[in-house]
Amino acid sequence: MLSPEARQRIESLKTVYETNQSALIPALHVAQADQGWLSEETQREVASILGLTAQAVRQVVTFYTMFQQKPVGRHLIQVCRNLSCSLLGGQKLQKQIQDKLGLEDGETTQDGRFTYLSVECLGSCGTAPVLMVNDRYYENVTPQQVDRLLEELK
Amino acid sequence: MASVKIKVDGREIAVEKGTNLIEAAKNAGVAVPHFCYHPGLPVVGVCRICLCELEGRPKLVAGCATQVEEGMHVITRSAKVADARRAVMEFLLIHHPLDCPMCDKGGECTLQDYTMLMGPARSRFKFEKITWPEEDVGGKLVLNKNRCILCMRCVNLCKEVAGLDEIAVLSRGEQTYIGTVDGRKIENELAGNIADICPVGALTSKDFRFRARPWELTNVSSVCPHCSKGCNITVGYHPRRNEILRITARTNMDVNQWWICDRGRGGFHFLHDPKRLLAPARAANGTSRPVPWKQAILDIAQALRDIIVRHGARAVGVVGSGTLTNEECYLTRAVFKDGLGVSNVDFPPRPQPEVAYKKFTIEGDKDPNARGAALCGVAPGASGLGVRDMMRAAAEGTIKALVFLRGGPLDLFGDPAIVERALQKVDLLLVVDFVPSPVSDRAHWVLPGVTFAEKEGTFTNSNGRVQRIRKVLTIRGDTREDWRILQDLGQALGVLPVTDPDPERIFLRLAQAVPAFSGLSYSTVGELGAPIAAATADVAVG
Repeated sequence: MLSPEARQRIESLKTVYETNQSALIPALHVAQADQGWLSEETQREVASILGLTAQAVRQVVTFYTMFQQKPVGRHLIQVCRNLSCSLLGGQKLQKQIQDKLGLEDGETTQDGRFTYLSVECLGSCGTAPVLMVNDRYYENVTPQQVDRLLEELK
Repeated sequence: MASVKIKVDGREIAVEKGTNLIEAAKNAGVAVPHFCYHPGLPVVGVCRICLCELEGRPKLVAGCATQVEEGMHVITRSAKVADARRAVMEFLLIHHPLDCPMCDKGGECTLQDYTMLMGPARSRFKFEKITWPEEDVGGKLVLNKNRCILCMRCVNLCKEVAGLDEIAVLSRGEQTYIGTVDGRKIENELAGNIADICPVGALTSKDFRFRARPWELTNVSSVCPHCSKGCNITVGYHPRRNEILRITARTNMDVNQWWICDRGRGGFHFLHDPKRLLAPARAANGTSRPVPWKQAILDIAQALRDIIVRHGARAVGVVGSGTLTNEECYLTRAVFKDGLGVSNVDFPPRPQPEVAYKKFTIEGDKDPNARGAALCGVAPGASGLGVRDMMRAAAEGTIKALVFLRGGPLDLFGDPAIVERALQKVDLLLVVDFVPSPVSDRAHWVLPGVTFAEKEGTFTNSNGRVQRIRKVLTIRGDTREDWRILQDLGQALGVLPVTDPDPERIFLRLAQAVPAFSGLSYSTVGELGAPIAAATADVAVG
């Protein structure tokens, strides 16, 4: 169940846009911030607040990789797997993180601390390789930085 | 509507403003290939196979999403266009399986046709294809996502014609697929149209799949008998098996546009009901025995005559049917009303809840020809009784003979207790029908008629449009077309001086006798029907 605050924020988004369909992506961000991920139940709640069909919401949730359809750990690590990052060591970083955490792509550690995802371009090719932890960017990442990062994030 | 002059492949034509390039080219006799475009659905422009060249413009444009402009020169055949289309085909075929020999769409598949037409014959894709299991998505459809090219016709049919968001495009990139959400199934009664318009074998009809190859079928134009809308249909018939295997929508912009409902689509299995009545039968003392037609007709005529001689024509009640053709309704009136002077002639209405989808309505009258029956005079004559009153009169003993041209459940004709008493009490109970019913079970005489697919004739829909049904199946057993039965009875009763060898000539007689049909003939009715005369449209005769 969405918190009353999240509900309230989604309600207020309805006044910002011309149609409720346009408020969908911001509303899903609010819901995901509130719940950590977007369960089918959460999606139905958003649909009913905005007066949209479950199909209309599901199409958007499944289209955008920034919306999580499974529960994620406290720290969601997303590593870019596109060209620039791959040329500059991104693939090594991916393997390093996966080996260290013992995770396949998309999996979460038992203790709920980390979720690992490889993703398409993060839009920062000039500072490749790039990864994101939750909303924060890490640029020109080295293997040493990854080790340190995994230690620091509790 | 303003028109503009354009050229299509060098040929000059005038087309209406607002027309897209696909339709404009069609007017010029040029076929532009398309998957996602459908004249009855919104333009989505996703398949990209309709790319055309416009003279003076550097880039190709999508024929579906581009409207004509004055002086435009559309080039649909050039090296540039061919290259682009071949590239689109190659992309569409990347994940498409090479399973045409076992795909139910094989032989009527747009993707297969275009591949044969413009290649490429070989794939350069060397990686593993994405595969999905087959899935029941409801709507009597099976979804095979491997074959889907994501044209979105199914999504838009549900959304725009049914007005329901029941199937969606999900995920993104090469993982994109269509599907239902939350395990729900497609429930709208127009979903069967998806099997007609799916350009590949992704969504196929559960009812028809693997029953036959499309080229084995003979397609016959007819009209749906399941409500008063009169949707135009194509009946797919397997000649060797003498069996109807499917019914699909036939386009008629004045009636059903491109669509039919699933009741009509699936509503042919009753034709092959093993309980069909196959021979004339006389029932007495709890047993029923077959009687040759000639004998049966003579005996029934004699029995009817006796009752009229003894009790007058008022002692006879005739229950017609809004499922019979105009020709048969006309004969009902000619034999019983005009011939024998029976005024107790009527037929029972068969209402059903109307279902109004966004752009298609299933009408609230189950009979395909209620309008025609009324126009042709299947209605009480001067001081004649309606169906319910006939049942009461028969239960009280004033009506001695009841003729049902179609049976049914007892409550179709009135209070079941009264109908029961009426059927038990009459001296003569004749039922003409193609399947047994509680009425025929109680009859003294049962004559086996035929269904809409075993005879020629016309129906008049609720809007007053006269349309032809066609004989598709060879008559089974010792059954006889209802128009023939009525003529035989009329002859034996001595009230029909001349008979006709076919419904076409009966129709000409009807057109002379009934003002609403004045001037109509099978040739003017044609493939798409013709409206009855407007001025007389609502005047019933009889």
